Amino acid sequence: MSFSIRSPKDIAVGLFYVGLGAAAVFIARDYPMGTAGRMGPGYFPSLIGSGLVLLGLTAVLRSFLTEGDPVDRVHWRPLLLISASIVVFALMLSRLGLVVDLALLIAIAALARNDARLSVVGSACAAFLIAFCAIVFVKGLGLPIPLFGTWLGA
Amino acid sequence: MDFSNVEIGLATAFSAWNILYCLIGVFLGTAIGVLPGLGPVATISMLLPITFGLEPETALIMLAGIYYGAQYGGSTTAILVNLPGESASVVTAIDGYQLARKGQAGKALATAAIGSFVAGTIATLLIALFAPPLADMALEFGPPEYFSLIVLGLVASVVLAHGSLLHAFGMIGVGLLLGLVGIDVNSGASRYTFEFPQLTDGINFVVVAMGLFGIGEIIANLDRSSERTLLAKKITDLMPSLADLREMFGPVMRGTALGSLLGILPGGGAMLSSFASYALEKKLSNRPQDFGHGALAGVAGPESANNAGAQTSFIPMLTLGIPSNPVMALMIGALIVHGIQPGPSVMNEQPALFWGVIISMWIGNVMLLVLNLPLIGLWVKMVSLPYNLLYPTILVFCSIGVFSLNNAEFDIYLMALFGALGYLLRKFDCEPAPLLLGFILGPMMEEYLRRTLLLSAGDPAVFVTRPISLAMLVVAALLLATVFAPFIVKKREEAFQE
Amino acid sequence: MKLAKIAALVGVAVLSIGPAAAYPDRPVTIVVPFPAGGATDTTARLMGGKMQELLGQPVVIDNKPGATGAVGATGVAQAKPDGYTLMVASIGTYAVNPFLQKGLKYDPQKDFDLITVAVRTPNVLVANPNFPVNSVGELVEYMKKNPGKVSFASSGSGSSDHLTAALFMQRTGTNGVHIPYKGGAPAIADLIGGHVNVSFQNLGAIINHVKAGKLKALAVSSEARVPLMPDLPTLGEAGFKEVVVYSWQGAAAPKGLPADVRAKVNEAAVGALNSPDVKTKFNELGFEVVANSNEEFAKFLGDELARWKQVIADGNITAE
Repeated sequence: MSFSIRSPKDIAVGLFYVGLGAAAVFIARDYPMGTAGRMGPGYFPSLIGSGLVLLGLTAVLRSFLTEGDPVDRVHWRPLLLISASIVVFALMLSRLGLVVDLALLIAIAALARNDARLSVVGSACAAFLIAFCAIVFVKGLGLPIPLFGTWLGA
Repeated sequence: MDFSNVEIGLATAFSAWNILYCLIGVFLGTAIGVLPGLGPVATISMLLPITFGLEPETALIMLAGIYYGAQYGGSTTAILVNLPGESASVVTAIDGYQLARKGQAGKALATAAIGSFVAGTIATLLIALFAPPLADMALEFGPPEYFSLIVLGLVASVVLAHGSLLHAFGMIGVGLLLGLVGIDVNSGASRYTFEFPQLTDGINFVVVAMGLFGIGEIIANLDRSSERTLLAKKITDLMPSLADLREMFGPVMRGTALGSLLGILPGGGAMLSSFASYALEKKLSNRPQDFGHGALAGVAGPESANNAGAQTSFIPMLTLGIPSNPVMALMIGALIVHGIQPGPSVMNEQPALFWGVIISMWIGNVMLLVLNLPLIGLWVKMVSLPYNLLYPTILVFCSIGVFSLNNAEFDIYLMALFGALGYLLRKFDCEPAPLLLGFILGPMMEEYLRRTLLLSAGDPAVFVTRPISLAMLVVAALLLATVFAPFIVKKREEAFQE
Repeated sequence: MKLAKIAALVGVAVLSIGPAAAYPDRPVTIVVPFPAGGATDTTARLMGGKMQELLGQPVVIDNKPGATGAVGATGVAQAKPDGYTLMVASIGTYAVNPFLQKGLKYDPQKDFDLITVAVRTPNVLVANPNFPVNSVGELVEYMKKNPGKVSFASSGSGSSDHLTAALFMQRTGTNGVHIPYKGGAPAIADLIGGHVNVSFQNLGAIINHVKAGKLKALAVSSEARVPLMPDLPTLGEAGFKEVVVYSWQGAAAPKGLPADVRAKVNEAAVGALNSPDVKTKFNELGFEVVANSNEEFAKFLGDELARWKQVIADGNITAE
């Protein structure tokens, strides 16, 4: 048996568990531990964090012993663009207002596709969707979002 | 039971005015339930002021309609686009979405609708007959019983996962840690808030669910072929066959029983019932390997449990004035503004309110069935839209819905973060469902554990000396044994072979 | 009735379109830093509904919950002081958070123009009916015989009922176990179920349970007996004069309102609170309308801050 990584997926996830668990335990040092009978705020997180570290180590160990799948390729374009579309939406909500901000959200999200292009049908649907949201959420349900934000003179 | 009061209730519920508001309620509820991210809590808090101008029973009939209508609508989105907007529909999404991908969305939706209707009817009857004794029974549940129930729930959530056992435990652990963010109930200390005041009350469930399921799924879909629509296969079977109905009967009945019982517990019982039902059906099934790949029983059971629980969760509120979830707390707020302090006296002093609301719930369930069965065709068509039109729509609704939780942009940023996490977890074959259940149950488990130990002066023996608690721990241990048994046996076999 | 209301509103709106654009010429927002449906939200909605008629402009309630009101209050403290952003918050937001929340980003005395204390409600000392005490005196005696054994449920660490319990134990020289819950409702549920012994809870939250015999009331924390429960003695009558505690809601605006706007806001708020129908509704819910001046609120807040600072320090109550 050669000593090599047989399951790259397992080792990646295992390291994620170890990292998260260790971070949780590390931060929980600031919280009083208490005792098992009278637990402080640090007791439960340390317990769970340590458990997660152990699980992670098991996964790492297993990745050397059993065969597993290789890691799938991470596609950065949809990951970054979809995340960016949401972040920009939140950032600009009060500045641009719902109408323009939704258009921005849809435009950035549309770019996430490899074959993104401007289409009449798509634009019409987007316009309909924006009108629907403005009427239902702002006018109907009274969500405190301006239709046009501070940058647009409201 | 005083029949003159029931008569008053019948007259109230069947007045044209109240039927109209019941219809408005269930219609609105279905609509917001279907829209991802927008849940009953946000909607009811926004509509609360409107109800101030109504009679209190009319207001409550409408609000109740929104609540159970949203439960109904929520399963639609969970099945069609894998977006559970409610903790209870996390389970429905697992097999419902797989059925939808096989082209059996119609069958899954009809199963959910019929199961919910049967469960709703039985649960309403139970409330009418046994509400006060059931409420007293619920109060017998103290901190140790809740703790043991949650342990049982966590073990059941391991059964939910169909992939690697190790990762199921890992995801539960990650969820437990995420659930700890915010102020610790027992000490008042802030944990893992990183100086963000927005995190002091913890991360909202909807934010995590929308991110992991909704956004994560969108990113994952976009990185596959650009041609696919959401439902890859041709749509078959809009309605369940007779054989399907026969297959559903057992799960629906068991789900209803579980949901009705657990629903009366104010500490999150309704939500636990849906995955208790899933775990039970998976254990009872002679084809457990189908679960996670589109088992009809995996939709029928939890959906019935969920809806029965949603109905019986009214019991503590109507009979004791104790809200079993945030929606109920809002309804109590609405009654208080009307000058009615919900409590044990409501039943006798306000028969129109008490019985009117209960009877209207059954009317509402009929309306939901009539409203939803014909709509199934429309829903199924909607998700066969090209994906490039569908995903921006989901994105828009998720973003606005998440904002509406606290009227805060912060929650939208968090959702983006969980979206990215959800995508990466998918890349590593980690399922989001156990994470979500750990997230919900973790803080409750800690809260009840520490409260029990405070009350028993640090003596853990109470968990096994109280019979209900002991019984649940035994069931949990047995369930865990059945999960591990095949695993251990297999390991042994491997060892012998080497 | 609804139509009449709308007609009245339109009427007022038309009248208020005068030559000079005097405050208010657009909708006023009241930020409630708590979720919809709670006591603070109810206070703001009842008061805001009437202020709308008095100001002749819509009054919008904006719930921004989080951290016992700290999230919403921070936002209000940083808002423009033009009278279009107001806040209704609770004792916790004004008088307790400064001692329990590290890194609080507002100062209740410096960052707000205080408008008025809106309403107050006393806490009632309630016990499970099977708990073997029937008066405050018996409870104190029982606690002295069984130190550290009696469990006090509260609606959370640092909540008004927790602090009342802490103050009670400090003044009576007793000691019990504090059991915090997430809000008042689960605490009351466990109290009725007999899983905990006693608790201080808001009058409105327990009155029906006491009437139905699910809980027994021992005393009330008000100065004088309350009209809704005339037979219930005060803690003062029971010999603990220092334990007079109210849970209260107050209205404020960002610091630096123009004097005329401030006067107008106070007039509308006090007017709304004192209008007979609003007052009756508050009384039915167990609240007592206070409706005082800017200066009275400022002095009251100073007293409350000093008192709770002391109680929190003596009781070693910290966010650990």
